[in-house]
Amino acid sequence: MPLESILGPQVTSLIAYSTAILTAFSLLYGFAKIAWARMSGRAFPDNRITRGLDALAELGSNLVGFANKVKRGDGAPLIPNPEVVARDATIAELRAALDRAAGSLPSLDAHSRADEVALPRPAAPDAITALRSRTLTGREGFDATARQELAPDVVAAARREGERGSVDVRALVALALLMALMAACPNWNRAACPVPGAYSCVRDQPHYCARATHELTPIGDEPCSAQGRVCALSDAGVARCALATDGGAR
Amino acid sequence: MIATSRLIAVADQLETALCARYGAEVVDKESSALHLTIAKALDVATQAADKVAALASFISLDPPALGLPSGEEYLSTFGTTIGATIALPRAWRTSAAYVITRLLVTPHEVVHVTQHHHGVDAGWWPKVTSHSVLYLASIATDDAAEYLGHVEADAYATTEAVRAWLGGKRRPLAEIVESLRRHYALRPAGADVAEATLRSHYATMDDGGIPNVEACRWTLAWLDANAADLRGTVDA
Repeated sequence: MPLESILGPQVTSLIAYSTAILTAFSLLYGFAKIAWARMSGRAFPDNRITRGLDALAELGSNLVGFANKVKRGDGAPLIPNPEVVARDATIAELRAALDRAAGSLPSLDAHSRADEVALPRPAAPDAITALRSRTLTGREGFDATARQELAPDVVAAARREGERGSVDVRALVALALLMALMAACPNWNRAACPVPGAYSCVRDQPHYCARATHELTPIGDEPCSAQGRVCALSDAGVARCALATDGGAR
Repeated sequence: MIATSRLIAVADQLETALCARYGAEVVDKESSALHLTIAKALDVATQAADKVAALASFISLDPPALGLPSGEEYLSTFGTTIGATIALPRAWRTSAAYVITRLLVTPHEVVHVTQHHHGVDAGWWPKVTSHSVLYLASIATDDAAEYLGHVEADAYATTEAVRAWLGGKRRPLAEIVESLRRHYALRPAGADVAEATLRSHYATMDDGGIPNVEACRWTLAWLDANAADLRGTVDA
C-alpha cells in the first residue's frame, strides 16, 4: 500500500508537530545534561526520573531507542549484548563470593592493630577457588587475581552504556542553529482581511485578500492617481486603475 | 523596420537612465563570483533532489519536484537582482540577438531594485533586508511566497507593459504564473497572489492604463520621450 495513502494530512501534521515538540525537549534536556556536567564536574544524576527523561528524549530521535530506554528503566537492555551479560554474571558471582568471604572474617573492632596483624588468613571460600581455577576465554576472559586491572575497563564500559541517550555537542549546535533559522523566517506584516480571494481599493490602490494567509496584499506600489486614474472594481470584481469617469464600483 | 543598431542604442540609453534614476548597477552574470557560486549551489541542490526522489521511489513516495533551474540555466537564461545590482547573462548585453530581451528585462529588474529600496514591514528584520529575506524565504513559508508572488507579478506586469508599448502581444497571464511556479518554486499561496496581481494589472492595461508600478510608469514615459519611433513597431 503506498505510504501516502496511509499518511493523510492530519496524521502527517500530528507526526510533524509531535516530532518538533519532542525534538525541542531533547535539545533542552541535552543542554541541561551537558551544563550540569560542565558546571558541577559530576555525572548527571542517574535515577528513575532521569531515566524517564532519557526515554522521553530518546523518543524525539527514534522509537526503537525509546523502547530500549524504557526497558533499561529496570536495568536491562532491550537487546542484550552476550558479552556484557557474561561479564555482568561473572561480576555478580564474584561480588557474592566476596560478600560471603567478608562475612566469614572476624570483626575488626574486636582486635587491636597488633591483633590484626596476627590474625590468621581465612581460607578462600569455595566460590573464589572455583573462579580462580576457571578458564575464561574471549574478550571477557580474565584472571580473578587481576581484578584491579579489569575494574577500570568495566567502569568505562558501564559509563558508555549509561550514556546511550546522550547527544553529540556538534549535532546539538547544528540543530539549534537550524531551529533558530526556522524561527527567524521573516513575516510580511499586513492587515487582516475578511474575504479571501476578494479585491478591494485601499487609499486609491488595488488590493487583494490573499487566500492562504487572509492578509490584505497591495497590488503595485503607487496609487492610481499617479497616472491620472482611480482605483475601481470591474464588473468581474477585479480592482484596477480605471479612468476617472469609469462607472465601476469603488 | 527599426534598425538593430537603433534598438541597441535605446537599450543602452534606457539602461543608463534607469540606473541613474534608481541607483542601480548592471553587471555580467558570468563575471560575478556570487552568481557563479549560486549556479553551483543550484546544481548541487538539483542533484541532491534527484537522489532523494530516486530513494523515495523505493517506498512508493513521489516527492514534488524542487522546480529549481540548473546552474547553467540560471547563468544563461535569468536576469537576477540582488540589492541594487542587476546581473544579466553576458550574451544579453553583447549580442544583438538579445536586444529585445534586454529592453524587456532591464525595467523588470529595476522594479526589483525599487522593491529592495522601499522594503516592507517584515517584523524584526531591518527594512533594508526585508525584500531579500522574504524573497529567499519564499520556498519555506506561505507568507513569503505571497511576497514573491506580489513583487514578481508587479515586475512581470512591467515587462508586459513594455512589450505592449513596443508592439508585441502580452504573454497570457496563466503562462507567467506557470513560469513562476516552475522556475521560482513558487508555492500555491504565492501563485494565487501573483495571478490576482497580474489580473489587476492586465485589467488596467485592458482599460488603456499602465500597471500602477512607479518604475513601469517612469520607463514608459522615458520611452515616449526618448524612443517614440519604436512605439508599436517592434514585434517583442
